[in-house]
Amino acid sequence: MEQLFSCRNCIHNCGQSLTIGRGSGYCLKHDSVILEPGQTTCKYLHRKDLPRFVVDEAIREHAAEFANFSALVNLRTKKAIQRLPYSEKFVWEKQIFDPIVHMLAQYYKSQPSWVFVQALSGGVDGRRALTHSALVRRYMDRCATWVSSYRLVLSVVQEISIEPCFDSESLVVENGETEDDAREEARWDVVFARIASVQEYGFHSGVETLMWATDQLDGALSELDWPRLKSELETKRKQWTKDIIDHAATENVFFPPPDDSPPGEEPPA
Amino acid sequence: MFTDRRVQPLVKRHSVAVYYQGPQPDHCYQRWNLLVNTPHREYYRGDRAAGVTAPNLSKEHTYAEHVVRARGKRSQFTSLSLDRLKIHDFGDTTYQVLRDTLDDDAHELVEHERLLEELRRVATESDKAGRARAIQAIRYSKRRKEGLVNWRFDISGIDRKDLVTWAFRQLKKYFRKV
Repeated sequence: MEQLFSCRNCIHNCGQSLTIGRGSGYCLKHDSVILEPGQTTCKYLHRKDLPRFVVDEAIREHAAEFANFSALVNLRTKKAIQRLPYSEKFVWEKQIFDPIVHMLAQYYKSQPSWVFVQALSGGVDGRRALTHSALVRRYMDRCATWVSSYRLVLSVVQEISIEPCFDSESLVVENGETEDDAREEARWDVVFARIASVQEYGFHSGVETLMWATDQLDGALSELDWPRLKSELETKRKQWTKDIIDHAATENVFFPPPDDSPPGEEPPA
Repeated sequence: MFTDRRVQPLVKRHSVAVYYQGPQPDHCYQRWNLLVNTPHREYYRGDRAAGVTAPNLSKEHTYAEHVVRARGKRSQFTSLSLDRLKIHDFGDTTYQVLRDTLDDDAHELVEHERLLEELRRVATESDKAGRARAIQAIRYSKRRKEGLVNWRFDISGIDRKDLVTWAFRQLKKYFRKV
């Protein structure tokens, strides 16, 4: 499970997971292409697979282990990896263009950032859904407040029961696994990433029902029973939407006058 | 008959040692039945050519914390798999665990099914954080066909700073390269 500590499982590399997104990744933290995302890490790792507050001890231990490196590092050899800026010309010349990596490389060119994040919502593509949930978590983490994030999380919640779809090119098939196995795993990568978004929002906002959202799914998640879980999520979508709006309204931040831009916007990079 | 209720070999069948786990009346028969009817199976692990990576015997993680690496990369357990391709975290040399040697020294091999059973119990009965970890741990251990070794070394005379090196040397006799 070393890969749990690699860039594949980090929210700063939004477009990949353990089973989603072949080839190079892109790190928003270091503004760098990641050539071997399963073998790369850094001290800023923020795991995708579980909410941060339940794996906090592991994240702190990992940060201490790689504290002497300023940027990306090889996970096994512990050798520093030089930052590699994205070049659109290069990827076309080498015919390795990846639309998700390309999109993420434009992140810092668009301001304000929340517009970029909101524009990613919608659709059934699993890799795009994974990217969206990771970007929302990253935005929340950087702002370190729920106030600027409730609208972004509301959009994640609206899609939480939608079955993510994957084309073959998006899947990472391990030795001894079939493409169907990988597709199944990829679906769970997206489901857990979406639910972790809700839980991290619950942590920041102090809404306990959201923080422990996994407890409300009546065992369907632990049984990995997708049809039953989908049905549960459809019910919870309405409840969680209400919880988020009610809490924001109580705190007087639900679309306050005079404008509707999220307060606490992160500073330009 | 059994004075030490923590670890007492009851029966050996096809080299699978069955241990009485203490007073757990609700689960005892179920666990006994599962273990007695578990056929002899081999467990594997990919690791460095120099040897199997040592556990951190000074830690006390739960199964779920170990499987999802919630409290760090090393715990007191060693992960194994029924599929020789599934666990290659630290290297690409494949090792097979020697079950008879484990049994002889009273180390506990937590079978894949028993690990899942325990994780499912934790996913319903534990505290909130424990449940959240256990749910993801079920998924990971299923995918990896994972079992664990729970080492029962007596480490009382070992200096803490020497523990990892000591454990690395001790583990050599329980694995063979395949």
